[in-house]
Formats: sequence, C-alpha cells, structure tokens
Amino acid sequence: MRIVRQIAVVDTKLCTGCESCKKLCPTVAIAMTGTKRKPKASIEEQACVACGICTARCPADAITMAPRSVPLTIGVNAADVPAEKIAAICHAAHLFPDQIVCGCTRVQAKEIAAAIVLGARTPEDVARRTGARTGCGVLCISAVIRLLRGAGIELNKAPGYQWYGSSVSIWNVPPNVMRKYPEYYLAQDREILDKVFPGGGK
Amino acid sequence: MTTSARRTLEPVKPRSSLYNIDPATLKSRAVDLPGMTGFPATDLFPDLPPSLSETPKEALKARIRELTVEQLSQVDLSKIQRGDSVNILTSHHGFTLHGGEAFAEMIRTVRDEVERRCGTSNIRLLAGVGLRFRECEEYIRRFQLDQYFGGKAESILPVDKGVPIQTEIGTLYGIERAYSARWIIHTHNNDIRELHLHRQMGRMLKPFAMSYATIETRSTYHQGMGPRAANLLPRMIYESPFVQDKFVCSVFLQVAPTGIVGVDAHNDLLVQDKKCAKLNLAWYGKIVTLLSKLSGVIVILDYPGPIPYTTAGGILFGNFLNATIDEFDLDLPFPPFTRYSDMLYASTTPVCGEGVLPPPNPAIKALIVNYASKGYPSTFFAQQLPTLVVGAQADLFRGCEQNARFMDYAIKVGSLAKALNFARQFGKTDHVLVFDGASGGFNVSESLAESLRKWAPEVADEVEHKLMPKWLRQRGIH
Repeated sequence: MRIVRQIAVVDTKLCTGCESCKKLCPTVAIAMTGTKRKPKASIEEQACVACGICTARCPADAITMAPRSVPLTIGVNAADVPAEKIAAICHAAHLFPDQIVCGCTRVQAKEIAAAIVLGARTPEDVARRTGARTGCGVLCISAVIRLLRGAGIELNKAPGYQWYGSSVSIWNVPPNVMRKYPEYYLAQDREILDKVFPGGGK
Repeated sequence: MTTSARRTLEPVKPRSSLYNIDPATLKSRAVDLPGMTGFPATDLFPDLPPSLSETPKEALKARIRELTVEQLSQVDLSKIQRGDSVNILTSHHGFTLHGGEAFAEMIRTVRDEVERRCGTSNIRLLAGVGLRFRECEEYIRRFQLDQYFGGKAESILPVDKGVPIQTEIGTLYGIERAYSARWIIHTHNNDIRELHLHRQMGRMLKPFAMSYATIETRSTYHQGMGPRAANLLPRMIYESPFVQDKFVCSVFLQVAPTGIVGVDAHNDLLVQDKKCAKLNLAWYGKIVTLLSKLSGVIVILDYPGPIPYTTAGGILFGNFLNATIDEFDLDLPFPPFTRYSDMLYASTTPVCGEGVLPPPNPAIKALIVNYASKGYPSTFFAQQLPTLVVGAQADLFRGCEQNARFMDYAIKVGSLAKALNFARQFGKTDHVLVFDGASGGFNVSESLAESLRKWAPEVADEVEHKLMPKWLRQRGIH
C-alpha cells in the first residue's frame, strides 16, 4: 500500500489550456474545465497520485505539488486474489509474481496482476489502483502492457500520449530478423530469458 | 609515487538544479578529506590519448569549433537545401561532460556550419532527457542555447506525443517533435556510460531508442529484450525508411578517460559506431578492467548526477558497480534491466534463483553519498550496499517520487568526515574511490593509489594480449 501525501495544484491564472498535462497523466487525473475559449486544467483529487510528471511538463509552470489535507491510500493486496490467477497472468507476461515491475514505486507484478483480476483494463487503471508508472513514468510501461495482454485484454487507444500499444519484445521478433542479425545475439538472449523468466506458453 | 599523483584532481563544481541540493548546503567535498590523492589515468596507462580538457575555457571552445568545422568539412550536407528545416538532435548527457561547454560549443558550431554551407536558418535544437524531465531546460538556459538558436532550442520528453516508425522488428515510437523537420542531425558523445545496456555494440545508435523515443520503445529496450538483443532496436529505428529519409549525419564529442580528445563526424552512423567501438575498447577497457580487480573499497559519490551516473576518470560509478563481470565480453549473457535495479529481486534476494544475476560489485564495502541528484530510481543501491547519506542529501531523496523508499535502507550521517570514519570501521578497508567528476583520472586514498599502480602493468598486458583480441573479434572489427 502506498500513502500519497501530496496532490497537483493548478494555478488557473498561469494555465494556458494547452492540455499537455492531460495527455500525459498516467492516472488520467486531469480534465479541462472552464470555458471553451479559455479551458483550464483541473485535477481529480481521488485520482492524482502526485507523480509530478505534469509539473515537470507544464510549459507555463502552472502546476505545483502541495500537501493533501487527507492522505490518499492506494494499492492492491495480491492476497485478495486467487494465487493461480495471478500466476497465470504473470506467466503469460514472462514475469515473476514477486518481481518488482515499477522500480520507483516498487509495485510488484503480482499486485498489477491482482488489479487486473479485480477489474483494471488499461495502464491508467493499473496506475490508479496500484501506483505503478507513477514515479519516472517511463521504464515500466512495456511490462504493464505485457501483463494486461497476458490477461487477454486487448488495448485500444490511450486517452492521450500515455502509450501506443507496442508489442515488440524478444518473444515476438520475426524469425527472419533473428537470422538476419546474428551479431545481436537474439536467439541466445531469447534462450537465457526463457530460462530466467517462465512463460511463453510452455 | 610520482609528483603528479600527490595532487588531487579538481572535482566538478556544485550545480544549482531542481534535482540537486542547494550548493550552499554542501559542506565539504571528498577531495578535501585527509589522505586523498589525484591519480591521472595516464599515470596508469600512458598510451591513453592526450586531453584537451585542461585547455582554458575560451581556447577550448575555439579548438572544439575548429575540430567540428574540420570534421564537418568531410561530411556531405548537400541534401539540405536553402530554407529547409533541420532538427539538431541531442541528449542531456553531453552537457554533463567536463562542464558541458565543449559539447555546447560543438552543437553551436554544427548549427553555424549548416547555416553557412546550406543557406538555411530554419534550424532547431531538440534535446532529449533521461528521467529528469527539466534537466535539458536547465542546460539550454545555462549554455544560452535558446538565444543562440533564435528561440528554437527545446527539450523533448519521452512522454511527449509519439510518431510510429515502421521497422523490420515491428512498430516502434519516436518523439514526434524530434522528427518534425525535413532533416535531422544526430549529436552525441562516445563515453561508455551505460555499458550494461549497449555492451559497446551500438553505443552511437542508442539515442534512437532512448533520447528520441517515447516511453514504450525505451521500456522495451530496458525490459523487453536482452542487453545484447536490445541493441537491435536503435539499429532498426535508425535504418527505418522514415529515419533514413531524414538523416543527414552525426557529430560526436570524443571523450576518453583522460578527458575531451576530439570531435568526429560522419554521414554513416554504422561506420562511425564501429570506429567508436574500436577506440572505446582500447580507451576504456583498461580502466574498467583495472577497477574490476579491486577487492575492498569505500566509494564516495560527490557529483551532481544520479547515483549510478556519477562519474570520474571517464567512467560511471555504475560501471564500477557492474565490474563483477566483463561487460565488454559479448559471450556473457544476463537478463535485462537487472544491473541497476531490483526488478528481479523480491526484497533483497533474487526471485530467479542464485547465480543468474551478476551481483552488485562485492568489492564495494560502503557507499557514501555526499552529493548526487535525485530523479532516478535508486532504492536498489541502498538495499544492496551499506549506504551512508550525508546531511541534506537525505532530505533530497526523501522528497523524490522515484526514491520514495531509498532512505528506508540508508543511514543519514551529519558530515562526510564522520561517514568516512564509520565506513572505515565496518568496511575494514582504507581504500577510497571517489566519483566526483574529476577530469582525466580519479581522486583516491593514497593506499588505493598504490594498489592501482601495482596492478596497472599486469592489466595492460591482459587487455592488450587477451581481452582486446576477443572483444574486437566478437564485434567483427579487425
């Protein structure tokens, strides 16, 4: 479980309504309010997990972080979900259940799998429920997508620029590419990853 | 011990930044501790190339400009027509090398040469970042690149709008603004840096899957492939029809363990990459191999960069952390993204069984963080190494979204001197190695200097006669 003690706050005097923040927020916590001619970013209090990505991107420096009046607790207890369901999703995603997927927030694969079993259907759902992807906002998206796909969920389109659904990984490199570029050790790395990470429909 | 080994080397000055402590709160530097000595890399390996880094600032800028013009004179820029739009692409790291001014001057010169030779002023600088999204904005301001580019210098982020790039391996995603111009010119630097990822088998191409790519492609590079196989991703992007239609040339600041040594430019990045590999194996191979021989050492980080990216002698602390195996050796496999992170660990033990993951360097008996940046997930280091954090640094980590748990595993100590005394007691070693941005070598304790000097001839022989032939053969370089 993670206790979120801060929240993004928009200075509407500085906000230009460019929507940059809305399009990259990993929990889709930002909507545009105000008038059509003068839209302003607005934060959904229960969805903001204080990752700070919007503050780092805002071209007008209109968003800052401030203490929450009441801390928000997020997280999923993997023990609430049958272990075999978690194992199946992680297996299909080539991840260990206990493996940390998000190095910043330290969310484990089993927590994300549990969130999926409990209803998460997109990377944004996963971020809201578990906090994954709300540190650097960069490194763990491919593993989150693999877990969602591992659960048989088809991803359509992100609400903004959060992801594009790329499915490239060592497990789906075309055989002709494997043969064409032997200097990249594709077959050998596939072999070691198959040993290290269970899964792949074996 | 020679006279040159008795002087300490100048560390990088503290830097005001969103990601660092206030320089005024940095009470002491490692280089000022009793018993420290500077150790130029050429004292160990005299065949390393001479450095320009000691040249006075204005003379260095003039020399970099001269070298860049000279290199570009051998490059075909004829694709670029009068009035065409050109994006000069770059990454944050070059601005951290030896103060950054040389890298900035190389970029300014590229702009000026394109304008002079091609008759276009429609030239934009787009600078990719790592995980500190405001970092390049700081460099653009510090080196006044926005003014130099007439208001056309911007930072590009991995969370910005993507552009699909069709490749032989599938659809990968670049940052749309990076590719918004008719032409692109790639500017970078050759140091070995994230050797655990690129394995010196595509060092020059890596930014195409990192600095200029959106989060998915970066994440795939880190987590979806092996550390050797992942290097196919930047190659696929670079060779895609989309990028080849825009690519004009690449220009690199050449650095070595001795410092800045030159500039290199070429129209073909693959040719340039091979050349870089040959030089890097020779320049960095001996230093890294020498440090891999250490059996007990206290490391002090004293540099305005994230923990694994603190530098000295041309290498990163991360390179020393990973020195348990020879990362230049392409026959050695290991799982992806495991060397700086806890992603294959449950708590502090591996989830995939013993012996699969190369461990963090057991030679490191203590890690003292006197000065380092936030903005990189670093909890792993505190979990795996006895870690002491000095003064205000502890509060910096506590307030970092990417290090929410770091201080759960580290001890806060009031002063650097106290931290070192404590580390000496439990580490049971007097060897101290500092990553403080020293140019051309390392600041170390006198006892460590003696050991390094003793081992250097043997390491030089091992690298020249045993390792280099293997490394070159593995890369098809003759």
